[in-house]
Amino acid sequence: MPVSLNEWIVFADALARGMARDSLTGFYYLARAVLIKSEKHFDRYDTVFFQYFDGIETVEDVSSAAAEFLDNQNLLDTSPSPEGAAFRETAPDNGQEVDLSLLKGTLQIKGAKRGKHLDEKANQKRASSASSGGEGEGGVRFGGTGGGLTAIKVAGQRKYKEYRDDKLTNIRQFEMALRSLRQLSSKVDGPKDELNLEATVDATGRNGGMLDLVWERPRKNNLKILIFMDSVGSISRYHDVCKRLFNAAHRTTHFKDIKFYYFHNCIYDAIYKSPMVSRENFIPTDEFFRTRNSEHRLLIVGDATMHVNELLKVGGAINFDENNQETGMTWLERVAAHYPYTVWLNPVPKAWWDRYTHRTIPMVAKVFPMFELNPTGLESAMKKIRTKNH
Amino acid sequence: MADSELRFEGTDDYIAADDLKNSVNIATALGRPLLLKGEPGTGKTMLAKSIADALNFELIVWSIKSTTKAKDGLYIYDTVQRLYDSQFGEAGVDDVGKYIHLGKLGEAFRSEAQTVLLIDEIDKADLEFPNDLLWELDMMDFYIPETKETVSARQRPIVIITSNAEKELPDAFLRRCIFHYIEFPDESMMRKIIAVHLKDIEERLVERAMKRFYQLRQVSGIMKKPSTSELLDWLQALVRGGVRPDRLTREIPYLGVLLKKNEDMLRLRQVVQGDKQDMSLNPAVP
Repeated sequence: MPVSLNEWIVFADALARGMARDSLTGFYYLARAVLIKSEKHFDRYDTVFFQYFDGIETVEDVSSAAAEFLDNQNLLDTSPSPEGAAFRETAPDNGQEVDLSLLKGTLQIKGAKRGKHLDEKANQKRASSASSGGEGEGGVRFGGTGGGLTAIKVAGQRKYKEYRDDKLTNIRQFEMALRSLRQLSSKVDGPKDELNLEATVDATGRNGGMLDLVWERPRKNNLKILIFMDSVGSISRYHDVCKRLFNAAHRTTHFKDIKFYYFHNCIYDAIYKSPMVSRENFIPTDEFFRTRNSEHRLLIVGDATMHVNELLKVGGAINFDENNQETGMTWLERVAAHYPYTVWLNPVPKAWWDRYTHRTIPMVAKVFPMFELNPTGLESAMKKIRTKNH
Repeated sequence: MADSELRFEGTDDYIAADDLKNSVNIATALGRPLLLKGEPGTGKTMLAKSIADALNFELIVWSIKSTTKAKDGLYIYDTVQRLYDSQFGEAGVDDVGKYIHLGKLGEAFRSEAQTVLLIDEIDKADLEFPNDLLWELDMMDFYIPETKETVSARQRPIVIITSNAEKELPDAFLRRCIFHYIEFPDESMMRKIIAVHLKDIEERLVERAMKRFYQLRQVSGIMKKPSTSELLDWLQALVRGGVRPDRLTREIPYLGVLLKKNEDMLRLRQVVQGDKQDMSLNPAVP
């Protein structure tokens, strides 16, 4: 959960002003409203909150609970963190707020230990529920230090970095191909709301001094691009060429918006936000459609090479946690229906596309116009993507 | 100042959940913008009106469109009018101030009394838009170079910002806001909302209709889920059409009021047919 110092100070200020109104519920809402800025983090906040206040969550009036809380000296670290000390200094000690500000100090100190403490707890919990599946996975997760999950996270970041690792050879060719999409930008629709001073002076002069205003459309590329990349499994053998495309797309600044998303082999009910396609970081495909309209140009990059079941069977997804209720094909068709401007770029050499080992390629190519991922293929793809598929 | 804090408790025609009231009061007391997110139709926009009503403040609405620029909210310098006026020797052309028109934010700053400023659907604008307003919302003032004048807020307005989450908002902006996510009302909350809007409606009709309504919202693949306002419209249609509650157990009259997109109608049909197919293919499925 990302919380900045700025927000923390505001929170401290609010507490000092008694805005939690000495109640645990008040404290809960206050902290959430000030510190948490996305509903996606609410669940984590809840988990942490209840873990922290375990046992007193039903007690509305915090005062008795707080007294008990403060009596428990184990909670107090003997060497408070510098932030904790500063925090105490800023918190006014006036009258009735004494209890609360002490509690805050404690919270802060305990907060510093939180990472370690809770991670241990989380690990225990995970270990105990590992066999039951599902539950343990989604439950608790803390950004920060230590623990198994963080290792995965770090791994994810490393992989992402590798994608961004600049490699100049051939990138330029891709860049040029992507640049060809710029031509679309001359067709910008939108209001003519920019006064062209030069042309106005010109026209006014020609008009015998009578004012003649010349308006024009601001020149802007309105193209929004989405790129879905297959990021794990068989695609890794084409890692280099994908990386080059990724880099090229990253450098092009002339699009209004360009975003990368990830999938593993086939697209189902979730689109992932990081190359580590894990259930931690995804957008439900339905929601994805709702929030990213069909005006977006969609480039899908993948080898389209998988087990036939992954495409045609319910529950055939290679990721077990995917547990697809509908077939991959259904989802692919849905993607194609929602984004009329779509192309599929395939790093597998075109000559192999009809081999038996790649027999899913023609199936996918029936749904999306498919091009080989090389400079010429990309060029043709960019030509195709200017027109609707349906 | 915080001690004399204004407390918002909802109004007669707006039912606010406790946590929402709480967030409003926190934002007001801290003098920070309240960012409201939530599904369309959860009453984000209405909240600002309700706050203004409850506190008896003027409501200033700044509706954001995709072409809105941050500067539009501050002031507009009407160059064109000035050029025209100069053409015809209109008096006062040399007074730049005459051609400076305050935008909605400027209006809220200039107001003698405290106001409620609603920045509606901020996510409609360009990605950079929220960042362009950071200074103004923080410091509550802005500078007009043309007149060399600084407009500062006489009374810090209560700023309510709504977002439908079409775009992610920048972190720097989020850090300055108090955040609240309005959840879709559950059934008991919905009952309260219905009671406020539709008096003397048959209890059994409400019950059946709500059941259907929440069922429809569950259908996967529906793009625009029916929201509170659609439910209210639908209930009204049912009452006007004299639909008996029993009929709702058999069919869904005036479905078009609930599902407004053609794709959604198709999707529903697909699901219904798929269901039948499934059953005919696998009779063993319970």
